Amino acid sequence: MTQLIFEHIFKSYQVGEPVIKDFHFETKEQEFIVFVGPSGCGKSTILKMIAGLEDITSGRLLIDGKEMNNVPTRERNLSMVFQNYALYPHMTVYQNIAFGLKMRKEKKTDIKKKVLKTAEITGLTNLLTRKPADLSGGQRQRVALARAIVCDNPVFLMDEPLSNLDAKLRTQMRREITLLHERLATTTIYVTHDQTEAMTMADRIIVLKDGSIQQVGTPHEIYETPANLFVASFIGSPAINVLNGKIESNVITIDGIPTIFSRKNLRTTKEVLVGIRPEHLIIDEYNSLLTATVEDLETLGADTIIYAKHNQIHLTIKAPGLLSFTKGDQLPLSIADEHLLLFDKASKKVIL
Amino acid sequence: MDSLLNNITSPTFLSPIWISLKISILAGIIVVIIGTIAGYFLARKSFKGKAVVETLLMLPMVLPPTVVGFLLIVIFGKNSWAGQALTWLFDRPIIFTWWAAVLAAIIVAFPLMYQSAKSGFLSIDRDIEDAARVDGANDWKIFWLISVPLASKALISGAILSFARALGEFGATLMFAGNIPGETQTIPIAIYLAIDSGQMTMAWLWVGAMIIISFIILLTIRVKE
Repeated sequence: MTQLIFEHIFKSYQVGEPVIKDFHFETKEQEFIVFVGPSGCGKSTILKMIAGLEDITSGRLLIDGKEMNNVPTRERNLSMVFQNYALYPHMTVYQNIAFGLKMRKEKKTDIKKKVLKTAEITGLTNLLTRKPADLSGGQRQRVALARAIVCDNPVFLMDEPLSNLDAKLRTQMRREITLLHERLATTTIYVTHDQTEAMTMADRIIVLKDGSIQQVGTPHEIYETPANLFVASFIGSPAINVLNGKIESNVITIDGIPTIFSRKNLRTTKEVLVGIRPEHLIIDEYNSLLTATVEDLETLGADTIIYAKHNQIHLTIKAPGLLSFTKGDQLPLSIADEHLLLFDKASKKVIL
Repeated sequence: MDSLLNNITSPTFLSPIWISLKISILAGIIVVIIGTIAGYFLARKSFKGKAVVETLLMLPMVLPPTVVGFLLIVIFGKNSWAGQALTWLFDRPIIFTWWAAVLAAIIVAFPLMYQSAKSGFLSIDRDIEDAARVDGANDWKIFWLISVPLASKALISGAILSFARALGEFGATLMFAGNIPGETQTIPIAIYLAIDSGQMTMAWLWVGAMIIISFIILLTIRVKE
């Protein structure tokens, strides 16, 4: 039931240019927001500003209509999961989970009840007497989660909580956190550099680069209509193919590819960058537009990633199924041209 | 054998031991408190001139004890401003008193405690303190429930080093507190004077006492760990 509002927030340190520039955004109630971007984009800094662990240089942060800029962390009623978990190493799992309740001076019997219930939800019941050093990475992660949910705070912050887990556990925890969010009905801000986490977990994604918002949107919007070349390249795995091209009176040509596409409403004449997602290059013997030479292959099981070359242009192709090619094979390709993305060559902004 | 027993139970032998222990324990307690607070403050805050403050705090460790003694006499002597203030407060000058010996021990032992405490606090993952802050702890609770327990090893070793340094203090104490048997004569001073006046038996006894005390302290730590 809680809404966060960021009004033109800037953050700068004594030297250099601001690390956060004009961060302006409103969450909806109970939304799962993911901040995604490369390291150094400022996503963790914003999270720390929400928590009150970093000062806001200018602009306003409101939680439920109340300005938070000068409210101490302990009065902001939020929970946070840290990247390295930040468990209290000298306390048992029980004491770790109970710490926040103790700070709120809750009754001992209530604390016990809540800790036991939370331990049950997070599968920690048998580990309550252990110290963090005796736990596996996945178990520590659960303690960090338990510590955050036990206080029942309306705002939930997570700073790359899955980055220290192995791949299998990460997929599992991803699902668990999503379910937990639905169950707790909190407003969650989740920071990650992993675009898969962003795509799979978010209600809305905020893509950040160099302290500026690049785009805000649902996973669908971000993937299908990226606002600029950065977003298009950052989201999607493997990364989008970017080729040089040109628009001339509704006609798109791509350098080195002997085909033209037409699209209405493109009146301008200009040089463009053409983005083609790897899954939109289709192996097609009957309607092929071009032939590429296979250079390398990655077999993922359900999909196959093919690295190929056509007229000195490197192409990445993602094809469903287990395919086998050998280096040098000729690959007939067609392009799902309704999915072509066009970007202005100078500003790198999308051309709609 | 009888004379040895007489020596060990004589007030001449016991007095410097009690004085040394009392001075070191009191100085040690004070140093642990202010050294821990100073270490925490300087590990967590940054301000203009921090490097100068840190250097000043470490200075007593590298200065010769005679320099410390000289400065103490200048600062707290009968004619100084601080000395007169203390004289007015306690009705007598601090120089050549038991308290002067405590002050000298504090000054020389402080850098050891401060240094250990600071590096102990610096080694704590800041996220853990931040987690406590998010969990609703105020600064005092973070310090007391998180930082101090996590730096406890460094704090204990700092306390031991400071106590040992206070116990071994000689130069500054002799200059500032003097050699008053029964009041300011500590073991190190007693040993020095015993050798000077050819009382080798007494010197041996005090050296033995010093070794035993030091051994016990170190052993307690080992057992506790």
